[in-house]
Amino acid sequence: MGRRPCTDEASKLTPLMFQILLALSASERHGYAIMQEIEERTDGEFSIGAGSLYRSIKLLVNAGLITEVRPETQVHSQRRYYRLTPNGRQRAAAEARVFHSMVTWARDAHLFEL
Amino acid sequence: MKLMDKLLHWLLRLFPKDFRNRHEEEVVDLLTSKSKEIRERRGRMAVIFFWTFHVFDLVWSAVQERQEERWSMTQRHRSGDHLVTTLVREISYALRGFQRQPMFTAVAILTLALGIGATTAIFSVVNGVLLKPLRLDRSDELVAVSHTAPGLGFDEIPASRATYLIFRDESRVFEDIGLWQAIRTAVTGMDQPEQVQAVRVTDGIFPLLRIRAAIGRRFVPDDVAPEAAPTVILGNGYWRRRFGGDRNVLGRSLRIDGVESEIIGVMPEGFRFLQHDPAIYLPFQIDRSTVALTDFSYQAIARLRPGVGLSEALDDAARMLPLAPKRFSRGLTADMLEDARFGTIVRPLKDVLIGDIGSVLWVLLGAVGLVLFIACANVGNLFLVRAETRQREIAIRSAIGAARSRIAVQSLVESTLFGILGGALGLGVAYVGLRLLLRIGPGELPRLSEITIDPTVLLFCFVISTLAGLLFGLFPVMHHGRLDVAVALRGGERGASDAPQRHRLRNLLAAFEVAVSLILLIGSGLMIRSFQALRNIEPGFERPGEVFVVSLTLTSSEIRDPERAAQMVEQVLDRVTRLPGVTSATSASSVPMGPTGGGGYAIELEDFPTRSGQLPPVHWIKFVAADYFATMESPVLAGRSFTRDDIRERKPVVVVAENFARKYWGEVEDAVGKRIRPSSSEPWREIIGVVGNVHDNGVARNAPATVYIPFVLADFDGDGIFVQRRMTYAIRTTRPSPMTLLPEVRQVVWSLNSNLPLANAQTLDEILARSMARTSFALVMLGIATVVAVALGAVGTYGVISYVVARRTREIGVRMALGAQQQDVRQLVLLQGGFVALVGVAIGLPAAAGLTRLMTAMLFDVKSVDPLTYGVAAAGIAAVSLLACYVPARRATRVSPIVALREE
Repeated sequence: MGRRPCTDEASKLTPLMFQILLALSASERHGYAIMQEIEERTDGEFSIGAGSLYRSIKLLVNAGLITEVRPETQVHSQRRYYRLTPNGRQRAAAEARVFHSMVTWARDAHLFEL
Repeated sequence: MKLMDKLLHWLLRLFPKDFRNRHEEEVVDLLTSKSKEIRERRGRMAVIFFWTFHVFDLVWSAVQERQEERWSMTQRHRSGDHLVTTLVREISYALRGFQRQPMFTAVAILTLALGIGATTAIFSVVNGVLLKPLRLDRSDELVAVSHTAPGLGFDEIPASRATYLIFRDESRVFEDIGLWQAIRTAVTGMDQPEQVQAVRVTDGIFPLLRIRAAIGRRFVPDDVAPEAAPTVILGNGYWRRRFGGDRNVLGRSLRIDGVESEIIGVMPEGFRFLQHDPAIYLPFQIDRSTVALTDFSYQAIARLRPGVGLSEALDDAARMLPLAPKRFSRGLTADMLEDARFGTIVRPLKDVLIGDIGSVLWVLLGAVGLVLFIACANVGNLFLVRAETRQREIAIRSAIGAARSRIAVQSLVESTLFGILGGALGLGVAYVGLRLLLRIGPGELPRLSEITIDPTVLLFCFVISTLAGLLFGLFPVMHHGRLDVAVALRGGERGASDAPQRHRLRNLLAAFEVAVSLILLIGSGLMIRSFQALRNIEPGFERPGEVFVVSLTLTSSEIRDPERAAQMVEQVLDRVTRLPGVTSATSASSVPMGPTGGGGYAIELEDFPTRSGQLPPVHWIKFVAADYFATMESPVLAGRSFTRDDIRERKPVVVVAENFARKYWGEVEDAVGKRIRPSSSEPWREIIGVVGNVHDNGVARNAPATVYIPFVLADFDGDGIFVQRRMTYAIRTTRPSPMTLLPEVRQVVWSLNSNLPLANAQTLDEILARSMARTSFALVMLGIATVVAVALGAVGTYGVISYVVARRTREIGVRMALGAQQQDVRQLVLLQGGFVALVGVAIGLPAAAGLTRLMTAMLFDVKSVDPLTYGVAAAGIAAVSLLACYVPARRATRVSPIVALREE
């Protein structure tokens, strides 16, 4: 139960990590905005705990998939902004392709018609 | 919010340091921003769910973070053993313990959540109703003003226009005083005539409450002048409902009781007028030239000047009161005031609003507090059992150098964490419970809208959760304190298990649970007896479920001529009686236990003349139509009841209640033929009949000595023909569902005049049920608490006895191998359970005798020390305890000697 060590590559992306990468694909955001973006995009299907969110962010930063940036204007001093690294973008794209093929498969299996 | 921030920072200490350094501020910022947003968009309840979810998520994430940290760094020595790091370490240790024993954790936390949730729910009611200050500016300065006249038999009577004017003109202690009255008015001229609740207020009321209109203005002195143009202020809810929240409503007119009134303002959203939420506010117009020192029928509220106390206010009122008969020559004279021992009552407004529900709520809070105790005892028991099984682990820890204090801290940290997690879940239980409670709660529960889970309640929940955790955490600490490391390490578990003193603490806990369950059972029993006593009282009418009632006011603007109004009442009754399924119909100024109508009048009796200058005795007069007693099925004890001719021909007749007849003439028969009159300007009226008493003020109150007078009088109070225009119609029907009469009755009324609104349609038994609402509310709530307590108590006893049996398996095996029979073994176990129950009952009975004295105010016709209730409850709890022991006792008889001994 949760005993898996944190690896450098975050070799397996959890759904939440993937969503974070997606949320950062358009622009850099801070944690609160990431949460908002995910909730909006998924019509509130996902409730993300603050603890889980920052744990995932920490793992993604450690894996070099996202990086912290200093924004030009600081409204809330305590908010940190994150940006996708080129590595992260590649990783997200690869993940998306896997998902895409799975979704195509599901469509072929007529799952969407249920 | 400050508190929440602190709690959050505290919670984040669960995380490893580097995580905290990086993300602590961010997490706090995110959660507070998000919580603010949710609160604005989805309300407080959503916020509670939000926090519950995130707290769990944070704890869970922290556990995972810690595990990863541990994994990645190999036994790096920890620096500093100060309190915080110790706590963090212990918490993470405890959290891992939870993961290892999910069943244990779930049972303990659920039990706690139940207890804490119930306590928090009732506390939020106590907080909202009793503790929170009123939602009014500096509400501690607000007082309600009324009078007392013990010489006339009135403990308390409302204020009058005369006393209001005197107090307003002369007072040195009141910043201002205002008069108000809740009434029902008819609003016509819109799509359907409608009866709405209204409050008449003098111009001082809103300023002294410090309430401004949201739109437009408040009433000014010109609005309450005798000949002022009619004006009206809308309640916010009514404005939204009928005018769609149109801000251009000012200047438009509303037809109220047939009078076109100009809308001058709208009250702010959420404003309730004390216990009322009226649709409209009307100016209370007072013509000084007609004011007499009578009509004590209005409510007065005042604001004390800053720093003035209640006793100063009373002194000042005593100074002002004698001025009233001098200034207002009509009505009571100075001598009458003296005879009546007339006085003034000044009470905090909050007390008046709350009424007598306070005692019920405190008792309920006490009851759920006891349930929480039982829950704690149960969880404490679980901890004890587990501590026993963990003796080896603890012994090893202390053998390799862990300090005793460290082990104690660890145990307490763990139990406190249980308490807090139980509390977090309990908050959810409280939320659901509160919803349920408000649904079944009596409609009269005051300040209902102010009951919420607010920061005070959150704090309360947090505090009791922590305390509960510490409380049951103490049991294992006491236990470990006596732990003999050497014995435990030797694997002494088995050897030591037979010693009876080792079970003493657990047995005591079980006995304690039995005692507390017994107290609650007795409390519920007393409520059941009170409820039965109330139900057994003959209310004075029969089969109320068959009587449909509805009120109808013949406004003088619609039907100006009193003769015509009187005819119309008869016409309505005639036509309603002809409806299918109707057996009889009548109308009266009020129905029993319904909203009051009629009034108290000074009744002169021919046989007992009063000295001049002395006030005749005051009695309640009820104005009725023919067939009133037949429809209510109240028995006529002597003489006869009113006929239609009595009423149509305005005969000077009257019917009195049994209590009235007995009070003056002793025998009911003797009252018939005697003459009385409600005022000296009236002709004498002959008593033609005596009817059975009716508990008009609710079953728990004595039946008043009522005087029944026809609803139309030839000459009442010297004002010419009088018709009681505001009447409640009562219709007895054989229909299975009396409410189906409403559309047909409405049709009958509207066929005569389509501008007359009907209101308050219900059946008489609904009114009767409401008069018992407080008792049944207390009964239901105590009942729920008791069922939970008895169930938890039985589980506790069961757990203890089961455990003891399990630990004594070997001993039982030996006994059986040596020839003990099954019934001997069963007896052995039952005897132990019986002893626990006996001790519990022995503690519980005297405790109950002491505690139930606190609920005397809620009881009716039963003493708080009622032998029958106590006996039945004690027998019941003993039976439940023995039943709880029976299962383990049977298990004990199945012990196979061979298996038991092989374990050696």
